[in-house]
Amino acid sequence: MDNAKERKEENIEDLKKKVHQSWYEDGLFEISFGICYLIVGLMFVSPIMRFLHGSRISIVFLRLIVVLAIVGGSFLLIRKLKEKVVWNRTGYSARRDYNPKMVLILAFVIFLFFGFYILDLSFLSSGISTLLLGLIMFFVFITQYVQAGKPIRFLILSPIPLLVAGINYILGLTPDDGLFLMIYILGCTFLISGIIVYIKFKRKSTG
Amino acid sequence: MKNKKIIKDIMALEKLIHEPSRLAIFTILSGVKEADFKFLLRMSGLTRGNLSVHLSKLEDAGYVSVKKRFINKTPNTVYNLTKEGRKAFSDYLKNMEAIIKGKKK
Repeated sequence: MDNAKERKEENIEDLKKKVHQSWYEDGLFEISFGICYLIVGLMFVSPIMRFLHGSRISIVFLRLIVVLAIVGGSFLLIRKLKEKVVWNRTGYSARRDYNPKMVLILAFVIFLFFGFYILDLSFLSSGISTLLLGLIMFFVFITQYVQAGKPIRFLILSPIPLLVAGINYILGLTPDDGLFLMIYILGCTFLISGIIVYIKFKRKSTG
Repeated sequence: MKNKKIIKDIMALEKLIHEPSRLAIFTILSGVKEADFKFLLRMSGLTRGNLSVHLSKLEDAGYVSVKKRFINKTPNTVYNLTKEGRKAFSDYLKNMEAIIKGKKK
């Protein structure tokens, strides 16, 4: 007479999925990345960046450094927020170290993202390049959806870059304006989704 | 002949892992780098007493390592699978898969 009665029967796959999803159940991932996107978006409207002189490529690389710093910062922000408001409710767990293969894929995606941005300024027409960017972002989101244990809200968020890219294409926006629009819409959607999930999580964990 | 092989595979299963509650603990810990008692309690759905007993057994077997620390002056116990623990769990899953495949054939 062991614990069969006290715990619901779950198979190994369900339990693995539950553990993966636990990292995303509080919405802090979306909130942090929403803030991160909105800060990155500022680069495209800030006067410093607008009037920055130099070669196109050096500006793009400068932006790349800022983006990487913000992504790193948002991971720190997630950890701090989890420490303050989540772990005392749900218990502490640390993610497994990243698989080197995943890190390489991520680096490749970032390289592609900025590669298209550079190409856009010199070779490709702005519309086609924006569509390609939308497609890359879509695949990043789908990867995140699978990695996060398939939470349905990630699946709903994933076509947004494609939709925004379509709007960019129809409106014929410049690469800077197109990217600014995409980043801001993504940032706002992430932030709103994260706040809703966090409110639900807080109610559930206190109730 | 086929039945003999299946029986041999079943005998090779690590009994310490095969128990449902401990299997749940292994599954949870294999998905994270480390986790504290509260997290394991919530994920596994076990009672405090049972979880504690099973974790002690796994610690004695060298499959789980324990780290005690303080967070804001509150004691916090963190568990993680040792190298041996991860290997034993992966072997267990492989054996289980072989049994299921053998039965389907």
